[in-house]
Amino acid sequence: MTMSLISLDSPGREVLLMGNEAIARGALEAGISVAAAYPGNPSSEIIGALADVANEMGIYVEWSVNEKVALEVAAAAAVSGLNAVVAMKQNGLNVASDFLLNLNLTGIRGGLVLVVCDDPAGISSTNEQDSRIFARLADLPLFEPSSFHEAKDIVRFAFEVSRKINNVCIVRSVTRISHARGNVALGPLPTTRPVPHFDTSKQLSSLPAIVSHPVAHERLKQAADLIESSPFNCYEGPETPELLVITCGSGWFFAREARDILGLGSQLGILKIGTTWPMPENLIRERLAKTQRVLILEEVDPVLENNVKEIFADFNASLPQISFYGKKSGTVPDSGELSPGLVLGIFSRLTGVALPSPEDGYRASASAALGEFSPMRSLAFCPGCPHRASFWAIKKALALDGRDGVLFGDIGCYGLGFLPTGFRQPKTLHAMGSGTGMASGFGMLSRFGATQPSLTVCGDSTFFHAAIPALVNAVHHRSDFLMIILDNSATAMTGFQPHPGSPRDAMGSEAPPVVIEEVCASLGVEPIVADPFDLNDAAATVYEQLQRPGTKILILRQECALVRGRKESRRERIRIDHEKCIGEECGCNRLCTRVFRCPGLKWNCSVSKAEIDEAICVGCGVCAQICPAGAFVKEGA
Amino acid sequence: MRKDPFNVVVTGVGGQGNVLASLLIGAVLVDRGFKVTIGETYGASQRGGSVMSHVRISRAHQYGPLIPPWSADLVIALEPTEAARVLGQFGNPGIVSVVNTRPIHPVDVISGDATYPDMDALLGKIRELSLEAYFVQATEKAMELGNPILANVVLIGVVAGAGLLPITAQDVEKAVTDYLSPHKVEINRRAFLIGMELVKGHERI
Amino acid sequence: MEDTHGLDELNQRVLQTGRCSSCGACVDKCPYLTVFHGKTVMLDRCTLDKGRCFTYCPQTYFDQEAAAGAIFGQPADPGPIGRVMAVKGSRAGDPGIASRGQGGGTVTALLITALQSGLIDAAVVTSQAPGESFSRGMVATAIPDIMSCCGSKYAGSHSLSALKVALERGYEKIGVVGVPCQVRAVRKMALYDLRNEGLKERISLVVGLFCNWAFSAREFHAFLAARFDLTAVTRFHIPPPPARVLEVETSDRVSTIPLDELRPVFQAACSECSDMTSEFADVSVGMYEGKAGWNTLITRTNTGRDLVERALSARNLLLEDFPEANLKHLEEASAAKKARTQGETLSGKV
Repeated sequence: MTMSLISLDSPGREVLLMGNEAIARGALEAGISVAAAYPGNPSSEIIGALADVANEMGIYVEWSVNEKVALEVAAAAAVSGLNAVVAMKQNGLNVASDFLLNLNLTGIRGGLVLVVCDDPAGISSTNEQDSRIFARLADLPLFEPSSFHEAKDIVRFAFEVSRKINNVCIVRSVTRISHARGNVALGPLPTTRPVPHFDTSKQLSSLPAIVSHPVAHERLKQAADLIESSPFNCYEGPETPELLVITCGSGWFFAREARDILGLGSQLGILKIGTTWPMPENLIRERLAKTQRVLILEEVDPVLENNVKEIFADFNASLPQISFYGKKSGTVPDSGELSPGLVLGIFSRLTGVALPSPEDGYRASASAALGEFSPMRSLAFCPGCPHRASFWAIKKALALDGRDGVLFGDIGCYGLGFLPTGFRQPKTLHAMGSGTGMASGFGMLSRFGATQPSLTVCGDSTFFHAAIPALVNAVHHRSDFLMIILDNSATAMTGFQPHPGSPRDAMGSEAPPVVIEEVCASLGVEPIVADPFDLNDAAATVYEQLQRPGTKILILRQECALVRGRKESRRERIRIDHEKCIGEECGCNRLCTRVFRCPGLKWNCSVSKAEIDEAICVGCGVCAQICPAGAFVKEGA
Repeated sequence: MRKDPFNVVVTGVGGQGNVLASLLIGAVLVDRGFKVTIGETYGASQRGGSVMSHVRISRAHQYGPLIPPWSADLVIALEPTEAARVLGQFGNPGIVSVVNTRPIHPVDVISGDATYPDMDALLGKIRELSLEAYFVQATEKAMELGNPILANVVLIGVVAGAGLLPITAQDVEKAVTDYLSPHKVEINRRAFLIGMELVKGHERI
Repeated sequence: MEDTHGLDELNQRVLQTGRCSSCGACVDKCPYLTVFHGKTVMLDRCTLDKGRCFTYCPQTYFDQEAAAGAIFGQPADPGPIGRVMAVKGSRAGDPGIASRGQGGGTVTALLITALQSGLIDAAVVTSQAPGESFSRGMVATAIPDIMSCCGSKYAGSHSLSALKVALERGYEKIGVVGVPCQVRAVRKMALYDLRNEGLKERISLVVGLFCNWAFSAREFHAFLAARFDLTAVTRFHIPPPPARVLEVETSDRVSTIPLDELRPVFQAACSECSDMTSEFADVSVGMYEGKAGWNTLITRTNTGRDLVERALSARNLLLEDFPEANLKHLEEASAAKKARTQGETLSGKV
């Protein structure tokens, strides 16, 4: 993490920053006092970067228990006159939305910027979602940066607008901006910060909504002139282009490069919109008047497209006939992310200018090689991951139980258990905490003749984020289900941020850990604790719990392999005795490589035996427990 | 830099230090006054999946975070099948390939669902699809230094030693200090120098 | 050999269809099949096309002609009780052993003879210690072990899983005691020996038991547990017809349960078996109808005859002529079991 650069007091210096780091820097330059978030890819580095410099910069940074609370914490600062930033991924905005859709009606007194980072194509998410609709839903301004430098400056602009209209402003980023790095020229850092004060002479409430809703609309209108004159909306190209490309966010990079590669500088104009809501109406009208073909290029849903068409509909009497190309016309795919190849193809088709395609046969040869020389590389739990062991124990327990138990899955590294790496044990995967909710619901169905046991897996961070209310519900309604808490003492998937169970907070200070066992006990359920690395014991324990009625909690506790790996080197050296290894014959059929599938293993085709990959194996020794031939030999660290 | 933009793909398997490698390269070049854009795909990919960093280097212009198809100039591969994967999407007759030859078997191969290609055939294919190819036993060198993850910096050393990018040992020290931690400067400097040394006895077309 | 298959097929054809007779031939040879609380459990998928599990399972197919050729040196006998060299009434010579047996202690006496004379170096038998919920296989190498296994176990026991243990421990002349399905499984092992474990050579003696059907272990255990303190149960007995009850002996009395009440816990697999007298064993032993304290003993092979002669000369065994009327009765009972399966034998069934 580029910690020293975010807080560097060198205005004008150009550094290499990740989009998220630029956003963090923009928040600092805007003079925030408070930053809060729950980790979520691709947003985690924003508050992560601020946490690293919190003490140095004298700000308060918090990894909150979930996104709703994060927004509430930030809002408290904002209604007391401070500037606050909150960051989340698309799903996090869904969690925070109940509060957001009230806060927008009460307004604030300082500045609050909500950064939402969408994940087009759902590369690291359970869904694909365009969060920009929240702007219209909540009547809040929304801005989209198109470069790294803009990511910083647009956040400062967002605070400016937020303070002016006394309401939240949303900044929407995507993976290709948030996780990409580029040159950013640093600006000045503020030297003072206001003292928080809540003016108690005035109350903050959305009631009655019939009054507060029009007020929200008014606030939005107040942003209008700042938006019309914003440099984040700009046009580049001929006065009357044959094709006008209207784009926002990451689409701008792709559009410019495709234009240059195809040599379309004299035919094609690019209108970049940084203020997606409200739209700079005058600018749009001005540009629409000078063309008859418009392509709208954006990530995920046709939000900008619909906004533009709305303006066109309102003013069409004074505008020419226009053909619109975008998601609606099928020109741009309506799901998945933009890419240079995609945009090149679209420009080529719309302009008739052919893509450069050499005759040398290279591309055919190289594409053909893909299949033969690059085998699929599926995601897998890291070597030494306790989740592999936990799912193995669950698999065995469910087989012995024989009643076709249903495991409801949840979000975290263990979400990968859905794949062969977790033996496909979880049968569902939805949102944070929904495994517990669904499992407890399923556990009420025996009254209809259901006989399948109900179980869920839930990470330690997920437990605090969302599972507790579902657990309270389960206990009170006497649901028959087993909650297995996979406690690897980390919010691992997103980068090891602390959570309320950790002994330290975001800023590195000592923090009283909230103990999972004590939370469970306070609900009247004494949890059992077991070590997933003791496979037989863990499987026996899961089995035993499945035979009991009511709500049961089992904590499978073992440290995340990556966290452990930072503290100590390999635990034990392991090798496989080929004399004993049965391999692919009847009696084993490659249990370790074919079923257990740890990346630390290898299959030696020439001798048909399993082997350990020394560069990858971390020496956890779990594989040694499953081998039917006792062929694994441990040789001490 | 023989071309503007100069497009580099750093590729490997999640957990190999791919992101750090591209960051070090980018940091050095920004300090030298270049506009650098690095596009990554990571997150879940870290869990054993393929990772690619696209590094766009230009004197004048900030380019987008993804290289257009068939337009990379240099591929630095921490794993050989990942080199083939890059060449099949971003390669062209002028590309230079710097490849760590130690295989990392995907779980798909470990489990028997897929086969790992024959190494000679694979390296031969990479050579066929590149203008120049450097094959390096970077992991072995890194393990001699005590940690296989240093293979990434060994490869940067090879790239610098071959004159493919303007990077010196001092550059690496500064970048590690600014972007990583002062404690890690020495080991990374040594890995870099080992890489530079290797070029003197490298294998190429 | 007919086309053989692997675990997927075994699961589809036998485990999922209720045809498993709990013989124990397939379990614990690999990580994919085990016994748990009296049931054969598949723990995971095995992708092999051909495996010992399917090949040795008595419920997949049984090539009677191949088995008869290997065991008897002649074609299978189509008679109701299979190939017979002799049928006798029998009883252990030692009254102490006789009284501990279900009938006359014949099996115990034969095993002791076999061990003492060196015909076998270990026996795979079925054991259920007091307080244990389920019976299981055991490797017996000494007389006290044999004695501890006296008495019929009326439920499926997976006892053949102990054969793997005997082989691992290096025994070269193993005797196996089993019910008809277990006898078929053991004969398939010797015929096919998929992993070249020397099974034909190392299995020296097969003592078969008469069997009409067995209880399903897990359900039987639950049935009993609901009615008795299982730690106090000392003995089970199903008297010969016309009684049609199960006698449960506890420390203070004998309770009787009508077999009709127990019908729900019979093994479904047994309804498809047409072999009542273990037609492919070396010797077969069962109850002697109308004569408490004695067994019916059928000798079928030279190995069997040799063993019986040794037992006689060591005075471990007493023999009597077996009345014609009883033989006729036995044949009728056996024919009735075949008729239940509508004359279809397993070699053509699955």
